[in-house]
Formats: sequence, C-alpha cells, structure tokens
Amino acid sequence: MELNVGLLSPEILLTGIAVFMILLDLITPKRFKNKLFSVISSVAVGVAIILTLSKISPIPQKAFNGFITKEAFTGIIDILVLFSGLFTVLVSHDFIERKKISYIGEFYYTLLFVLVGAMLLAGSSELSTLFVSLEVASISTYILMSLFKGDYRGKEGALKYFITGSVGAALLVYGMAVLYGLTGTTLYGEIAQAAEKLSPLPLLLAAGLIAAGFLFKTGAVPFHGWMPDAYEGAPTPVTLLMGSAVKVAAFAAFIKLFIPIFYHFQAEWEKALGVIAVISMFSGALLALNQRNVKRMLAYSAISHTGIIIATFLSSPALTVFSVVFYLFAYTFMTVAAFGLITILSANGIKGEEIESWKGLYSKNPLLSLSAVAIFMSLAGIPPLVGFWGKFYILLALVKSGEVLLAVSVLIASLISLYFYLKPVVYIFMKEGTGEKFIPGAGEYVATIVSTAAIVIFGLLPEVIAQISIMGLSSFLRSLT
Amino acid sequence: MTPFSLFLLSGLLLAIGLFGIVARRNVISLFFGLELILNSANVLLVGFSKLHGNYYGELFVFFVLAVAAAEAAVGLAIVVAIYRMKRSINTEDFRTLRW
Amino acid sequence: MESYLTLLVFFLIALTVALLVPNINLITNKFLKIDKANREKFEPYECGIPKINPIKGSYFAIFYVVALVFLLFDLETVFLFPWAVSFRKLGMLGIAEAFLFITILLVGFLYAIAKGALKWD
Repeated sequence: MELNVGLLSPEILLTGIAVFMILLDLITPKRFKNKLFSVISSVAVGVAIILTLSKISPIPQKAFNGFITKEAFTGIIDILVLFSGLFTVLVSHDFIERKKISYIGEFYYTLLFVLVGAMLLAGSSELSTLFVSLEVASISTYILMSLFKGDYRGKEGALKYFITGSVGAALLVYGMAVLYGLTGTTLYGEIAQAAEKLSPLPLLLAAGLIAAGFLFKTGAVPFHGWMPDAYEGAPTPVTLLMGSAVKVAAFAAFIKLFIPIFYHFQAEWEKALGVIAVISMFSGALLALNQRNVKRMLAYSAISHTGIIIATFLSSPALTVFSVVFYLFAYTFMTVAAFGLITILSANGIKGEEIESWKGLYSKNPLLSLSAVAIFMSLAGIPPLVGFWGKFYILLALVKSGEVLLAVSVLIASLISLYFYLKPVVYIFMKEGTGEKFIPGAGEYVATIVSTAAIVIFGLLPEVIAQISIMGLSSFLRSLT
Repeated sequence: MTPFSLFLLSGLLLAIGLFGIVARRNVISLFFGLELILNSANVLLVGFSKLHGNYYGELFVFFVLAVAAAEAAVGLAIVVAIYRMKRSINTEDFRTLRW
Repeated sequence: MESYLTLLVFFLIALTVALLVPNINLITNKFLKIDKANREKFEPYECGIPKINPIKGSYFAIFYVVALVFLLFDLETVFLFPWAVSFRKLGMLGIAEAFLFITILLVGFLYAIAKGALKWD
C-alpha cells in the first residue's frame, strides 16, 4: 500500500478548513460572518497555493495507490484553480456585502469544496476518483448558484445547470462503465495498456460517451444549452468560479483521460471532434453578436472559446497539451478579470449587467475602463495581450499538424467575435452617461485590476507562460511512459 | 451472463431514462430519468465486475450511489426553492432567462 | 465482439436523443414531449371514486427535510460495509480513516441539528 497522503496536503488543508468552518458558522454572530469567513478562506487558499507550489515537481508522483497522479501539469492547473478561487473569495466578499444573504458561512465553505473538487479532478488518474471529484465540484456549484435569497434567476439557472450537468455526469459514468467492461480495470495506466490491444469500435463507444460527458461540462455545442442561462442566472462571483476553476479543471481531466487511452486511434474520432469544435466556435460567436446582457454575451463567447480549445485536440498530443495549458492559463485570468469587472459594475443590481448601463464609464472611472478595454481586447485576441498568444499557439499547433482548415475557422471565428467584444468598449467611451455612481469594494477592485495586470504583463512576456507550459508538457509526457 | 445481455439490460434502462428526460415536463420525472441512467451504469459496472472477477466495478457502484443521493438531495432542494417562488415544477414555466 | 456492433447503433441513437436534452424549453423537443394535461391528472388519487373535498392540509415540510437527511446519512453508511469486510487487512490505518469519515459525517449531523432540521414542532 502506498498512500503518500502528503501529496494531497493542499486538498486536505482546504477540506479541513471547510469542515472547521461548518462548525464555526454555527457559533459566529451574523454581522462578523462575511469578514471572518472571507479572511479565513482567502488565507486557506493562499496557504494552499504555497503548498501546491512547493509540491510541483517535473517527476510524476502518485498517491492512494495510483488513484491520484500529480505532475507539473496538474500542479499548474491546481494553481490556476486556486488563483481563481482566491479571486472569487475577494469578489464575493464585496458582492455579499451588497446583497441580502442568509447563508454566508455556507457560501464560503461550499466555495472551498468547489476548489477541492476541481483540484482532485485535475489530479485524478482513476475513473471513480474522476467521477466523484467532478461531482463534488459541480454539486457544490449548484448549491452556490441557488444560495442567494429572493434571487429567482440564480435558482432557475441552477436547475438548468443541474439537469444538464447531471445528465452529462450520468453519460460519463456510463462511458466509464463501458471502458471498465472492456479493460477490466479503472486505473488510467492499466486501461491504456489494455486499450492498445482492443479493436477501436467498442472503444469508440466508450470514448463517445465519456467525451459527451465532458462536453456537457465544458459547454461545447450540442450540449451547450445550459451555458447562457446558467452564466446569466448565477450570481456573478459564482459565474466567475464556474467559468474559470471548474472549466479549467474539467479540461485538464479530459486531457489526462483522453490522451493516454484514446489517442492511438485518433483517426476514428477526429472528424467528429473537429465538427463539434467548428460548430461551437461559430455558433458561440454568432449567437453572442446580438446580446444585450454582458454576462450572457460572455457565456456565448465561452462556448466559442471552448470550441477553440477542443479544436486543438486534433493536433498531436504534445502540441495539444502545450497549447491547451497555455490557453487555459490565459483564459483563467481573462475570465476572472471580466466577471470581476461585471461584479463591480452591477453594484446597482441587475441593471449593471446590461450593456447600455456601461455608457460613459470612462468619465466615471478611467482605470476601470482601461482595464475593461484590455480584458475585452485580450478575449478577442488582439496582439500585445495574453489572449492573442493563446490563440497564436493554438493556430501554430493546428498548422503544424496539417489542420489548416481548422486554423482558418479559428481565425474567422475570432474575427466575428471581435465585433461583440468591441461593443462594450464603444459603450464605455460614449459621452452621455447615466448618472448612477458606484463605489467599487476593495476586494473586487483588487481582483479585477490584478488579473488585468496579469493579462497585460503576460501578454508582454509570453515566454514565461510558454516556459511553464513546456514544464507541464514534459511532466505530462513523462507520466505516460 | 454474457456481455451482450448486460448491455441489453443496461442499454434499455439508459434509453428509458434518456427518453424520460427528453419527453417529460415535470422536474420530478426528470429526476426519475436521471436515476435510471445512473442505475443503468450501475448494472453494467456490477455485471462486469462479476465477469472480470475483480472488485473495481462494485466499489465504483458505491460511489455512484452516494453521489446520486447527494445529487438528488440538492436537486430536490433547488426544486423546492423554485416552487416556493414560482408555484410550478413544470419545466416549460422556467423561462425567465431567455435571449 | 460482433455483438458490440449492433449495440453501437443502439447507443448512437441514445446519444442523438441526448443531444436534444440541453434545449430543455427551446424548440427541439416540442415534438417529443408527452403533455396530455387534463384536470384528472392533477387531482389526488382516491381509489377511482371522485374526490369529495379539496385537500387543504399539506404535509409538514419537516417530513421532507428529515427524509433528505435520512437519505444522505443512510447512503453514506454504505461506505462502512466494504471497510468492515476488509477490517482485518486494513489495520490501524483503516480505523483512523473510518473515524475521520464518521467525524466529517458528524459535523454534517451537527449542522442539521443546529439548523433545526430535526425539530418536531
């Protein structure tokens, strides 16, 4: 038996703190709750970041008899998840200050459970671990979405997310059951060995079901119905969390499961995945054109980004891992910054999400409007920003593996999306403003500005992320052999 | 017991569950469909566990069961919360969020 | 292995059905829905005879809460069975893990009590 519990110390720490917070929540008087719990959870997440950083090593390490494998790849994803968790805590402190909410403690420890689930999801190298951690992350997200009192939109979004998400999870379990039936084991390494001898057809069945489960979670096109509703309905900090942490971890788990097991018959499924990718990026971009609500627009743009990431899977495994890690790195900061900005602007209620209410923002708060410009231009992929480099490496990967058609469609989709990303920017610089003032809270202001600064700095120094991604890639390749 | 008969039973359950989810309007019926899909996977897992002679599958079933219970609890809680505000559990009435 | 071929077709059909799922209240599954709502359907069942008076009294909400709490704790104990079966092999580590598990469950139980989920009035 090889337990190696120390490898999981960040997750264990967060779980312990969360369980402790359940008890603390029962005895704390209500007026201290928001401050106390946001401090506790941000400190816990900060310590978890340090622990994760200290544990990153290029050599893959196993824990719990190989049920969890942590390479530098997983470490990078964990850091991204934890950073978006930290920013979520900062943003939600101010969000909760403004809203009526009777479940403050519950909000914070459920948030920590989402982070634990997402980190385990990125680390899992066994089917049942994958399923349980996926469900920990998503069930906690359903709870977070419906926690706010008197907020009907959040509950409706939560129900839609719940139904589609659990159908996706159920299909995923079915696919795992088929995979287990074919190979007789649930550990990735052993499955990969057994799968090489099998004929592709039954494996294709398992691959289809598992991919369907993951596509449900990441919101690719045939399974995207929940995305706009859930993104719009959820309280903005929760949208931030599910748009960054859960999605990033789901992509990491998809890579860890898919590349070792199903890559040797890539020719069989690449057409299907390519079609899904192209449809996702175009329908996401086209449907976003006409949205008035910025959150809904960002949901459609997230579908488009999902399509772009999925397109990368058609290149060779090494290029896929590299460019997806790079893109996820960029995407996390862009999502955090965008939804942090919306949280600040929607301080006056739902109205702040409408694009009309952004008019004349520049005269009210120049720093915030400049960062809004950086965020939206980065999402669109304008050169000196980090979003551009993400798209650049994906295009490079696609062209190098001969998928020119896909590369061209990524370009066209980005061009279309430029239109709806420019729209809020134009509104910001319009002269006549509606007179409503707002005072950004410290936490959300810091979160937005810091992640915008990250967008700009990493955009000027893409080598840094490239180095990190190469580290992730090499450790990932080492864990395969 | 052959893989074929296992697939037949579980596939049938899967199809019934999926049809229930697609066709029914009542949220509680949707939950029935969901449980059916999860249990179809459970049938497959237990059966294959027997065929392969190891316990991975049966252990997986425990986790699927526990997760299904947690999912049902959260789902029902959300439905109750919605019912209190909207007085309906018909999915066609949940259309506040639209483009 | 031949039998998988026919089954593949079966599952492809299932998957295409699944594609319609996300569009819960959009156009696609208008065709598939079973919605023959009539008055009888929404009435309580009373052994076939017409109901005498409308049901006013509803169940106490506490029943549902207790049922939910029971469902969760009942299913969590399922993990103690495999533990008990291989108790001898696991040794001290197994005992420690089981205690950790029960402690976390206990915290949940305390939460349920503190929030009044088990109060009967």
